Amino acid sequence: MYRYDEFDRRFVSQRVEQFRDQVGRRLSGELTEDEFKPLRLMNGLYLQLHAYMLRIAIPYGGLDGAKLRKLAHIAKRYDRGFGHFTTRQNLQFHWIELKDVPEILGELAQVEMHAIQTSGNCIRNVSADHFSGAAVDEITDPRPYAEILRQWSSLHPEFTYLPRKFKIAVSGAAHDRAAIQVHDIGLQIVRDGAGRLGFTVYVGGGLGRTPFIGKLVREFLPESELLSYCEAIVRVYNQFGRRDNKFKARIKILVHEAGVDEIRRRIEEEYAAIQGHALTLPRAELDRIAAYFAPPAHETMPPLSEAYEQAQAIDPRFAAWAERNVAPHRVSGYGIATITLKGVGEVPGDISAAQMEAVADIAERYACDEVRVSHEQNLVLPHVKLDDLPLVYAALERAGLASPHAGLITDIIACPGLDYCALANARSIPVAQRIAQRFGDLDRQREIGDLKIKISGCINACGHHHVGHIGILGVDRKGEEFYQITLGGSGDEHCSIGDIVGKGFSSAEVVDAVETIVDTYLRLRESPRENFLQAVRRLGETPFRAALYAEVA
Amino acid sequence: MKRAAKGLSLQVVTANALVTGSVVFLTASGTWSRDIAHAQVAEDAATAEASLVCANRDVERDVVVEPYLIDVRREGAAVRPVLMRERIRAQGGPTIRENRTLVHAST
Ligand code: SF4
Repeated sequence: MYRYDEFDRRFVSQRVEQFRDQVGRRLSGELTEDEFKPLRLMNGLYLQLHAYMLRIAIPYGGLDGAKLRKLAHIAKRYDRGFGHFTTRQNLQFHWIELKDVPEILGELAQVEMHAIQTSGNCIRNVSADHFSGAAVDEITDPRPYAEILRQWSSLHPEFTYLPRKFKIAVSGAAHDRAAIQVHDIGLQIVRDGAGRLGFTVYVGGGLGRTPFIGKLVREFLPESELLSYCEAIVRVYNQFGRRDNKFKARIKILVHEAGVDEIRRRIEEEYAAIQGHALTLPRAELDRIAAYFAPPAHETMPPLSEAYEQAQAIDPRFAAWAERNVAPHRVSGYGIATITLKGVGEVPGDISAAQMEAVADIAERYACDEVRVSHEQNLVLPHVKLDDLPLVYAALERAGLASPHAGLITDIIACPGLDYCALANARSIPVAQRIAQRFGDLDRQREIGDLKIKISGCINACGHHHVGHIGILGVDRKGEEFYQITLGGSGDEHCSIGDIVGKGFSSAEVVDAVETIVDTYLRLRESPRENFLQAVRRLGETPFRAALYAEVA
Repeated sequence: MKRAAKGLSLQVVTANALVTGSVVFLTASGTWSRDIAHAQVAEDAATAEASLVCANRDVERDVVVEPYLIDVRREGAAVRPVLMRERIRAQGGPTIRENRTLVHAST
């Protein structure tokens, strides 16, 4: 994991002191709310429905035991004993008091964390594949590049007041687990014909009111050119992006309105002007940053673990968990374990302080002290010996964290929605909980197979509903909560935006509607090997629409 | 910010407390209460606007932020916001009935 150097440390602690002073002046009345609001937003502090919310940056989702323990401590001391992981791999505390924020930021700085650039029209937390450094299909670890981008974009003087917020994601594997094509810049690590490392660059992806899949602007960008090229992209956006209308200000609209060829031309023109200067990454610097992400000292293990096999044979619950929640690791004898935070009766993405501490213990003991946050609002232990997985499972079970349903229909993404969020039109969490309840039976879930449901409480799409295999969007219809359903979205390398199936459903109807869709899939799939998304792509929406609206017709 | 439509008969002023962020309602004595039952219910637009003026003074005094009027109904002795959003704010927390995550907070 990246460690702060002297510069980082000084910078973050100065920022804490600056904000402490600003909060003090706000509380004493020296600053008005209008003066203070932009300052608090720059420090990740929002006002939500019930309280202040503090959004803490977790660069590329990387945590360790010490960070988790600190978050647990903050949850207990300053919040209501829990935190909420978001689709941006960040953590939100939903019950924060203004007066406590400087103390909290001071505590975070002790473990090299902060809340800078988690709000505002700047380059936000850079996200990356949560299996980084462990995935079997990885070309190279994307985190060093994400870290380089983080350093470049932190308080970048030119890019502090962009037309709108700006999000970057990096994937280093063939299978895109970081949803890069729905980011403002999506970077896919590739090798060219000569074996050199570089990036395929997508620009202008995004969800929200007008969803777009990122457009390919560069097939191959050499790795040393990462910053020059990104600087060119953001500069073109900063210059030409619209500032007259908040809803048309993201780079996706610029790309859409000007056309990708014109945008590519401008980016390349700018890139040609700055190329070969200060932003070219020297080999030594790339290596220096990469060294922070050197893989942990894996032991040499046989590919098959007797303890692991035995435990699966004896305990069907462990076997079920292993089947869904353990992914293959690049190193023989290791596995990647997913800890889902969506068990029946849980709130998607929420984790209690005690659970954070339990995960910290497990990570330190069995998982090389590494934990990742996934954009699917789960946690990941990227390096676990297969031998240790039964012990890890037992410890997770004691903490209520052993739901064996990763990637199944109840592993739902849901934004906070109207239960917390000031922008929401409808609730998300109770809908997710009711769906989880309805499909709670594990055999039934396994029968259904891979299926991603994603729920947003408003068109801002924090719950990524556009790229859900089944997407659910909460809308307000004359003061009532309604839910619009989309089908066939996907956030991976075969990215697609879901299509709206038809008119929305009331809160009372929406779970039945999901069940109708699932039953239709089960009825029409060619075989259990054809998963939900494949079936929807083959069949189109017609049969689903027919099943959903049959009674009405 | 979602403002209540003018002309509806019953309204109260709500805001968030500056220091804690808590949801609060303006009372008849010009103080703020976390309980909507203590809110002053304005029965006409003029009274509602006057309450909002009073609330805005407390913005200047750094007591609350973002005050606005919401529509309410009387249900027996209780006062209940018309919009779901405001009902959720008035009840002081999310509507989530089951929270297995928090069960683990106490263990
Ligand atoms: S999608 Fe809307 S309701 Fe959900 S968290 Fe984002 S802004 Fe709030």
